[in-house]
Amino acid sequence: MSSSSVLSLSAKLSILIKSAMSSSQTTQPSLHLCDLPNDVLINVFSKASTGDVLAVKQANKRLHRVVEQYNLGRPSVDEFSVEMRTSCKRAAPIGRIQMKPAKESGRRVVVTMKRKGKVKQIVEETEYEQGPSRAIDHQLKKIESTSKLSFDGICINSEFVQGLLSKLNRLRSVVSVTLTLCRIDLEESEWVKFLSSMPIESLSLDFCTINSSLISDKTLLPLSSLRSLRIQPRGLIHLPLLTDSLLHHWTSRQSNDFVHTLQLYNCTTEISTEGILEFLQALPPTIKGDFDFGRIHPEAQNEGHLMRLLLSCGSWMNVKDDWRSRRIEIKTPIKAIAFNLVCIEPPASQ
Amino acid sequence: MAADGDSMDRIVKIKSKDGQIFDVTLGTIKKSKLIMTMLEQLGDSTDAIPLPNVDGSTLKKVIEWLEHHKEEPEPAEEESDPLRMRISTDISEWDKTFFDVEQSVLQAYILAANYLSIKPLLDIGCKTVANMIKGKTTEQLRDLFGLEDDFTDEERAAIKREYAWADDEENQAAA
Repeated sequence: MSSSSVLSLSAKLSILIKSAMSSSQTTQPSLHLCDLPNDVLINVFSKASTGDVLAVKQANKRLHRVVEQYNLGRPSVDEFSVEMRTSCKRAAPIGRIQMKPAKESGRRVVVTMKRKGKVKQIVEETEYEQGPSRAIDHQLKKIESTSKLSFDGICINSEFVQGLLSKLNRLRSVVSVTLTLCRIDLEESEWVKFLSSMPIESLSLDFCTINSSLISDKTLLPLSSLRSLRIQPRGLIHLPLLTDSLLHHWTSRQSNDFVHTLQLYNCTTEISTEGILEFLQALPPTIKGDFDFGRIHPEAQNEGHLMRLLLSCGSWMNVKDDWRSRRIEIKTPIKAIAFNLVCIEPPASQ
Repeated sequence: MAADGDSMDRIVKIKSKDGQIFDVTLGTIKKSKLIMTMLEQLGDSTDAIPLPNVDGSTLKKVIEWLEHHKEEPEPAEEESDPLRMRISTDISEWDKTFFDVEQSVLQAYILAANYLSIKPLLDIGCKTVANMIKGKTTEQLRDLFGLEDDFTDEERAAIKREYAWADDEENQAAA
């Protein structure tokens, strides 16, 4: 309200009244929801349950518009997944000659939301552009929370993570994160912040492009509810910062939630046979588990520990030699344990 | 608000739509942001402040509510984002009785609270309406609030499809 001092008192007053009148209406014989101004309706709906708001939303056009416009009545979903693909439109070949690809290329983003077995899919097709998809942001605004989050083919960079973190309350119940064919382009601190913003129990990184330093004791230790970790690299990967102390930490956690799944096939880590032995011995014998400790490099192999490992827990054992390593698989009725003993120096990272 | 006792006893005149003039103390009316803004703009003028959107009987009840709640401090922090889910506030017995009125009167209270910018009164009014909505099907809500189904057949079909996804089981009957 910045009226100039030249205006008389009554003029000022009439301006004030006019501005206030525009948001108010005259009294009707009974309560007509439609006669309430938008901000009052928003206030009412913010105090009602999601189901109630959805019932109101279907009553008539005006209420539908308000609920839609202000993203009220958001449902909680079980799964929120995004798949992004870019495509290059190829010119039609002339005989056996393939012309240069046409300049324009497209991007297709599919957002899938699952809720109580029901699926809703939103497809966004755009000209190729840099930067995050608007569809992700738009759909994320329409839900209250999700328990599973998966991204496929997305570049996870600072900008993307900041966008997600600004909707932190939507991530508060995410227990499962799956990143497939993603390019993870983050500083260590951003990566840790991203992961620890959710109570993750299950983390899968499948065929992602990621700096090996991001998969380390330091980044995984803060995930206090983690029970399942799966890393499937594109090829052999060296993870020098993943060590026995992570295994040790997992078994010394206060809670009874033990890590039951570890899949590190094709990952060469600093985990040793001693670490594996201690980890398995610390697990209660009744816990079901599926563990692939990946590739153990020669310095981390100790024959004594290996013998004890093989003798202590195996009821079925399979040893096979593949290229440059000896794969050992041990099975008990409730546990599957596997690791590869690398015969020579592991290949350099990436 | 660091106003001393004297200024809180200051009498403010407010005039309803139908010309009734009410004398209220500043301490009573201070929860109304509209009146406080007007007073700032008007300075020391003692003219009655016209409120052309509120009738006398409603204004009388609003003043009664303000009198009853005048000792209660302002909510510590202003919720800046109206979309954020608020913790459902319990309505006190006194307020329940206050809002136990016909729908038309309830609407008048809410519109008055909105117009006068009295947030706590508005919140309780809105909560009362939210409680009226609770657990009802779309059809019941249309009856309750005299809403007309103005969707076209196509829109209705689209809405039904969309909400088959978002609706909870208990609201399926509403579709």
